[in-house]
Amino acid sequence: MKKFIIAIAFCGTIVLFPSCSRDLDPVSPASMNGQYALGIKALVPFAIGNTWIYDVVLYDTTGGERARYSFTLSVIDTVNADTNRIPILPPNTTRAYLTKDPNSLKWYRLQGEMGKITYWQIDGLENLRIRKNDDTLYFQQMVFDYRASVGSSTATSFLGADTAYWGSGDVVVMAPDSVRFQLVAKADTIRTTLGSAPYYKYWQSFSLRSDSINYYFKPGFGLILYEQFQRRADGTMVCVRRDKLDSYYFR
Amino acid sequence: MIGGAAMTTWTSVLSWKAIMKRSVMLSVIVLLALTTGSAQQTGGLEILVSSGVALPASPMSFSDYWNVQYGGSVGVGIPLSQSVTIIGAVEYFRFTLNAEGVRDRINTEYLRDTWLFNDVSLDPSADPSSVATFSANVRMSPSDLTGWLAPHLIAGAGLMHVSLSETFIPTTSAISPDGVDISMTAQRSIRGGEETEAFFQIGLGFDVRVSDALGVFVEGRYVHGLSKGLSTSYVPLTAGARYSL
Repeated sequence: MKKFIIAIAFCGTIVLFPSCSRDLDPVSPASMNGQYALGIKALVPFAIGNTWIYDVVLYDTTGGERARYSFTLSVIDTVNADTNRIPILPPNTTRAYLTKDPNSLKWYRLQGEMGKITYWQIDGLENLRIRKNDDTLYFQQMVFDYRASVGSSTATSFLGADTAYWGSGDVVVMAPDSVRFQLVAKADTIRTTLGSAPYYKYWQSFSLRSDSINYYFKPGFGLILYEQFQRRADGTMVCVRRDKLDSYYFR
Repeated sequence: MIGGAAMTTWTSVLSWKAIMKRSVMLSVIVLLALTTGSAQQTGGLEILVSSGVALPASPMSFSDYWNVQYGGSVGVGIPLSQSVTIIGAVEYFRFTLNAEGVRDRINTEYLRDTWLFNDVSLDPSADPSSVATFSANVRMSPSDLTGWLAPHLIAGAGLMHVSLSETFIPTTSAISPDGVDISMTAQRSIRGGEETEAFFQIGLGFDVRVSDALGVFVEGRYVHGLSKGLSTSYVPLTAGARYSL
């Protein structure tokens, strides 16, 4: 009888013992229970290794589908802009002012369609800045004002000539022009203290060029939709290119 | 609500009484079985074969995300005395992904509500995972029991090879800016890994003697890996047969 009681007690110990060790969990996806570690307020979350895959559809000016392909946009690394190659802007006479805020010189290097390298940054005002890979063109930046009120525009800025090589084989030559960005829509309101909104829509327009571009950013996720429009002979605008975010990977 | 609570309590009391009554009856039957019959003979070499289920206990990514598919063990026993047997055994269990378990743990509602997506869906997938062990064990049975039913304790140690597959958890979120439908998929995964580690196990079982040479048994064990990595543990519940040569 004594041995039987010992056996029963031992059985109980065995049943209870496993519950003591459940917390030892080195591969617990605790950070993956849906609560993403994203750059909460940023239009684009930057970390080396972050990747976005876009599905592109090209249309002709009648609205017919012309081509379809995909490309990947990846954050490759970070670089500090070479201040020796940055033009001095008047009234400054030295480059000292460029180094007042070292963080402003840190940019993320992204590789996109056809291997095109661009440099992206979220500045101290949470604005998204995108520039070409040449520091002599340092100030030719596209600026998306995160704190803009709906309807307001950035001041016009100069963008030099550029050539874009699309995955479809198209070569798009862009003449120098002045550009501005207008926050067209900021759908819904911030719902939580995390500062989330469905998307921000910016409209990029030019002084000379007849085309325009819509950028849709979802804060914390990045650019989710890109639409390029072209003016037809009758004056109406038609979408000639649409990039939709298909998938993403965030480190 | 109050009535419901009272009914639940009354049901619990009834259940507890029934459980107590059945436990006492079971104890009596077991005691009779332990003490009735002739003494067990010490045999030669034993061959053991068993199969059953394994309940993952830790880590969480193992216990919540995986279900046992199949498994079992083979072993050889060398009786040292009437009550002590040394057993060498090889055991293997294969696990498949518990997709519902993954969905329960990952809160897609959070994505929809906080990040304001129209819809969020999760489609987990993974290759099977497995655990294989090679162990040396000591099985102890009370020597003065003469019945056809005998309890035994088993304890052992050995090497465990754990292969936990990477679990892919693509989460697709839908949003429609200006009427353009976008379904964007997060390429996420829960990393797995392979590890060979020392482990110990301890358990309890019951043997039913069918003849002098043949017996069947049921057994429950707790198996715990000793590495600081995966620190895998699980509870095999097996039934098998042993044959004395």
